[in-house]
Amino acid sequence: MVSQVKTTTTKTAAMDTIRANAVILVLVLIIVALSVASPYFLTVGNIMDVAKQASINGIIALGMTYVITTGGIDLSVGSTWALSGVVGALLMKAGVPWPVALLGCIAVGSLCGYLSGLLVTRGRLQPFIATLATMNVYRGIALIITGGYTVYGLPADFRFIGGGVLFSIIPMPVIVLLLIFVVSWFIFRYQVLGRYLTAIGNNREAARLTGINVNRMIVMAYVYSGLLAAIGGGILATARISAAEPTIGSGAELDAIAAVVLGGTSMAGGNSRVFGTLIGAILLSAINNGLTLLNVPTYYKIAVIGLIIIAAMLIDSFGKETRD
Amino acid sequence: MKKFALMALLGMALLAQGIFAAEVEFLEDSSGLTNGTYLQNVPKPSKPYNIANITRTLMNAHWVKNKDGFEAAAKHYGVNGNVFAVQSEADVMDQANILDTIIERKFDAIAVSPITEQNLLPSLRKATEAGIVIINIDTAEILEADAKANNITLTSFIGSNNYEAGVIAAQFMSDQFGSKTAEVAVIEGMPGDTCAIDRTNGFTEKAKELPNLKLVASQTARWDRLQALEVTTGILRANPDIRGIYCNNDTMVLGAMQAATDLGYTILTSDNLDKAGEPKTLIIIGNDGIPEALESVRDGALTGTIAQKPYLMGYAAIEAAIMALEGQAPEAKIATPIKLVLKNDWK
Repeated sequence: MVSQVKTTTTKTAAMDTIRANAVILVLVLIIVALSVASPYFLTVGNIMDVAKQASINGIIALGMTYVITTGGIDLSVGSTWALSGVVGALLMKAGVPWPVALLGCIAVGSLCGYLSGLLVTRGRLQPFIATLATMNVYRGIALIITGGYTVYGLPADFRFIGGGVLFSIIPMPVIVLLLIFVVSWFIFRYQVLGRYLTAIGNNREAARLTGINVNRMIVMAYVYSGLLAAIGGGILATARISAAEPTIGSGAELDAIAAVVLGGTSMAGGNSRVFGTLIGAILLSAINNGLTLLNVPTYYKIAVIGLIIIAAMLIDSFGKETRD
Repeated sequence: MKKFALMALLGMALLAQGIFAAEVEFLEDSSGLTNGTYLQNVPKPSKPYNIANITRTLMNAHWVKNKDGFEAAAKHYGVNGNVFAVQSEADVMDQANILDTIIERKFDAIAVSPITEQNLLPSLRKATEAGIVIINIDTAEILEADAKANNITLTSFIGSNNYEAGVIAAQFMSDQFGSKTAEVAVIEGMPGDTCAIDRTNGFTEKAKELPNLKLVASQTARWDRLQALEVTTGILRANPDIRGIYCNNDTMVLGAMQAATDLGYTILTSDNLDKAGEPKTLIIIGNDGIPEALESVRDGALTGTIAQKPYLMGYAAIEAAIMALEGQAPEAKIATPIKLVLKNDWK
């Protein structure tokens, strides 16, 4: 009996590893395919482009992973990106020193997440509906305070965060992505918050009965999502294009969800892979970049990206079935 | 804070437009007008008609110019021209509500710039039933199929010829490259958007005709600055010999410009166009003439942008409305002038 349990555990662990690595396998396949198809893909400059372009979506997707762990979803990340970005930029234009303006940007992002979290917990709204509503509200506010107008002419020092390069090779956004990944991974793995969120996603009622403050934990997940939308979008994206646009980031929620799911996280909650999300974001970036290098015509490109995501999900799904 | 931000931005937008209007002849209000008229054979109105312009927001220099032209024409012809704007481009319902009120108030003619292709259709149907003359200004352009399906009668569409904009960009590049053959690329707008398709086709089809242009890449950046930055980076990595890029709008050209600078290309201006086609140089052209792009052209960071005349669009709306109300038929499509504005267009 004892040995049986042991075998099952080992087996599950092994399968988990395979499953977690399914996305890495897909990434390797894509990299090989794109390298064969385009001689420009596997050059240092282009690899840095891929990493840089993965960073904004990657950061937002890491926050999304936390929310999805609870069985929820945050559709408002794109609007949070826009709103936090224009607030930060307007503060800079108003003469506020840029590091202080960034604090304002982060505060707005966290507040956006907090409000969504309250609607989901205290308001008892479905996360999909609650964040669909806040998505529109935040976008509306971003448009109202700018009148639909782009805020540009930002301080050069600030722009370094998005466009700068460290050690003359590593783009700043990539460094920020790696830092945030380490923090997200550490909290998820070694802090109670991570375990509680997983418990809530698995069985909310059971989690409540064990004494977990469920509402508080869920709100924290949404705050983290809003915070990372502000860092990835509001700060990094704004710094990269040296302008804040009220219309930017629409559709960002779908890219983030795609990265999370490609990474092996279950949409049902309770089973998340923070590392997988990072790889998922890099995978999406590599596909986008590769198809641009190959100059795949626009309409085909859209369809091809969809097909590749389906293929990746199927590989993952078969991996799961083998386990079951 | 909100009020302050609004005022500061409005000030910036208007200031920028004001400076350019004084510095670039094409952008001056009077350019395109002959003795205060733009369209030909506009009759003297038999009474002071009430004509409304349901526009977008007045926070954007483009729409402010449209308003100015509309009001100036109303004054010139002795009719009542009223402009109604919404707070932001997100207020699709508000815009429809304003239009409904206008119909109740029995205006003789209305000019509309719908925020989306769809948001004013039900109200415009009511306007048609009430016998009001309808002019469509600039964008969104109401599709013929939608007008037909909703029983809407449109008198005229007034706006820039987007296909022609693409042609102008291709012809300009070809002229600069002269005897050299050069690779060129297009950054497309939102897939499926009529304006993006027309501008892209104009460029692509003209480039095919011109023997010294070789179109090697055409990719969408969905009107988005960040995507334009990323897509242009990829295109230039794969095609380092590209010497010319045309972007479907100015938002994207600002991203493309940054990609080119990041990769160490020199963006040519009218000061050094003789270098066109040389290694590591680029001609980059945008479309629309938004303030930030015009500033970049003036400062030598961008080759040029194809500017439009929103002032004349507003002006022509009054003229077309008067023609229709006096029983004449204005042209169904009135194309207002467009021009590639370069650094040396500054006086």
